[in-house]
Amino acid sequence: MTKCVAFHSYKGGTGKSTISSNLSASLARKGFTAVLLDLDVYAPSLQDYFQWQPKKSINDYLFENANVDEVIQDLTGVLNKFPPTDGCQADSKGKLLVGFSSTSKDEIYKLDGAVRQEGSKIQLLRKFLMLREEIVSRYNADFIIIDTSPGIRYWSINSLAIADTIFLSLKLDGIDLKGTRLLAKEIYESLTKLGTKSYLLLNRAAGYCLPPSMTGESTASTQELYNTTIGNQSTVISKLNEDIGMDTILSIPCYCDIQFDSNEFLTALKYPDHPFAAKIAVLIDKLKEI
Amino acid sequence: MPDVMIPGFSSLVGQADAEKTKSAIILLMSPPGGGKTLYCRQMIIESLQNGASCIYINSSMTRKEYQNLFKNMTDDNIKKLKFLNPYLVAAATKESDISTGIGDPKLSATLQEIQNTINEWTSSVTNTNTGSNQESTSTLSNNPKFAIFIDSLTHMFTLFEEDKVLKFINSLSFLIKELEATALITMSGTLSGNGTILNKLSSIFDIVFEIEVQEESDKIKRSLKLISMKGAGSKAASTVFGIEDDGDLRFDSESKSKLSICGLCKAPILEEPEYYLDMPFHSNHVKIYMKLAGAFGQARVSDVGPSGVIDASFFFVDVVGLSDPALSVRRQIEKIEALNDMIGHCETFKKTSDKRVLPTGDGMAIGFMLSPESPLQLGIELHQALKKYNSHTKKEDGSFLDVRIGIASGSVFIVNDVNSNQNIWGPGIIFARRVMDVGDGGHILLAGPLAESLLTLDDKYKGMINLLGDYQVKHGQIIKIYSAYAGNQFGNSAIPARFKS
Repeated sequence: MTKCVAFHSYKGGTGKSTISSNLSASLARKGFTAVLLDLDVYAPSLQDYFQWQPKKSINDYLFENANVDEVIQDLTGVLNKFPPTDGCQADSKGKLLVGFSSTSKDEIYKLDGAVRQEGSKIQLLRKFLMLREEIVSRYNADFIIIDTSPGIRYWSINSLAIADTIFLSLKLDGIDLKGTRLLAKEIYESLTKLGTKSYLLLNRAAGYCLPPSMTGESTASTQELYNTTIGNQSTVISKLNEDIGMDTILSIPCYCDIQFDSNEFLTALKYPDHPFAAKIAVLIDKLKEI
Repeated sequence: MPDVMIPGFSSLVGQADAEKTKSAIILLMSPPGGGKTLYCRQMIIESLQNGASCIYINSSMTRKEYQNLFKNMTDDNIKKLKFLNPYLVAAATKESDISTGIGDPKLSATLQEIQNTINEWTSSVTNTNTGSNQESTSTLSNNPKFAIFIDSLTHMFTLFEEDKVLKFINSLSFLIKELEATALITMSGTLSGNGTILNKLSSIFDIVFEIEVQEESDKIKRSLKLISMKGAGSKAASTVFGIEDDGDLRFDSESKSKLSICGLCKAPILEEPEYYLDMPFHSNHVKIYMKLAGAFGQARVSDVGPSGVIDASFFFVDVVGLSDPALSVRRQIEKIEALNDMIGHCETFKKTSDKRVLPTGDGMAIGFMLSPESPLQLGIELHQALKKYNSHTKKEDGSFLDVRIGIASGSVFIVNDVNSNQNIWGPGIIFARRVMDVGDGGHILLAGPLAESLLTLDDKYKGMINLLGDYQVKHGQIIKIYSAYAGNQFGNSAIPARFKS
């Protein structure tokens, strides 16, 4: 049975595209058929991430200018760029399929304008539902991973509604925390009471960098700040879990080598020994149990 | 699916029971003009299209009239349709008549002709089936299906002796049962009026239908009513149908019962629907709908589904005298198009974005979601446009375009139509229709509550909105009606004829 997972967040820049891409590729490497959909329709980034220019986009499918086979691209070959290592065995049965949103300004305007008109909005929603159903039936997908738009927007809500599981990714800054509480109350409550499972996915959490005591740069004040930050983080997370009734499925530290890598691409496959790859592996294990 | 199609039947007994009915002898009663012959025509066309062969027996129709009735049939289908007029067939020999036991040479000849035709069709299918090509062998297991139509029994009684007609029907019924065919026999009149004959034939008929005809304002409303059905207990049900210009029958409720439309994706539901808030859904869409409704909030529920209730002000207009038989269809279409065009060019129509338009055939209903002034304003603008238009028309040649307008406000539900568009229906729109029905050509009539709110809104309305009084509409409902007019600029200052009576 296909599991449909949506990555969502209150703000942009929380790592949805990076994590969803790495997760999808890692699932394919493990022998699953993973279909990654770029539904961040207002700011699509997966074309750039995969360096892939599709002839037809999800926008074309929604407007009935393309069928599902034209839109869903088989990118399994991309996995071959990263030969499996001893610690990361590949299963050749796996497939990585990706549906891209259009990056054309006109197409984004067109989609945005169409959802303001009742008749076309219903047609688009109908096609959107069909997209999920066609992916399930035609590709026998094990996982559909949706990279959504941040915030409370038409297409992100639709994506959340068709998903069985939601990962709400957030950084632990004040605005994100406040926004996450808002999302949980305004949106997630109505979804979870109808069976959707939702989890917090903390990204860029503190704790990756070496503590000052180990770098030889320790002063009493810097060490105290470090300890306080780590301690506060735990408290904030516990309180957030309790307040909004969502568990944290994973906490990914702020890997500055990834964050500041302008060419980050499927790190989990490229550097299978990187702790980020281990985090993705944990996420896969947990996802299989949901 | 049965080969012989019974129009409207699924609306009356449900799709499942309709599909189970493989053969039956049906009686259809109707007052003159109810549409018996067109019902036969519809059933014949649908059955032929579904692969059945049909015999149409009509004792009052010439071959030319028959050809005209089925003039749009394809050559392939017309080959599977046989026409017989018992009055015009060559009489059977005395021996043949004795062998049938009917006692009337023409009715005996008709029965023999039916038998011969069926034998011919059967042997033709058998020959085809025993052929060697693959296409033929695929139909080996299929027996040919036949439908026989007698239209009408009442007319046969005028040409032949009653007991001989009854014998003919009786003999025919055995043949029909033997062939597992379906027969439709029509009669003029009603159940009570045909009581004596029906008592004699009651054991023959499996299903009895009656067409009821009612006049509603200047329109005729036809319903197909199920009187009885063997083995189904009491199934008092009826379904409304209309007759299109080309003679086709359109069953309103049939499309609804056949096609439940999913409240979320708006596509037809082919399997058993799941219901939420009385709306049908595909089983895998009901939860998604609930999630969306919960996430978007009830105030925006109309964005994702049809359960919203809104208040609006309605403008209802129709063309006066459009169904006048003296008016050609071309002229009728011209008038409808002219009305649509004029309304489309009215400023109030153009500048109001939040509105719903429902075409009604001979006019339209427009719901304005925001301003209660919009319907009257549109009425005034339309009358001004009509004035210009009619300066080039003549009453004598039927080109004069006269409309009546009803205006009211009230609640309506947002519903999905079969084209997957969101539409509106409810008390508000019905009220506007009732108000319009009171008027004659040129009237702009307003329901009391809306008129009174306009009168308190702006003094300019005091000079144009005038109280007519209370009027009893359908179901005993009494409504206060106002009329809007100003000299010869717009409206009609005369008291409506219905008001006087």
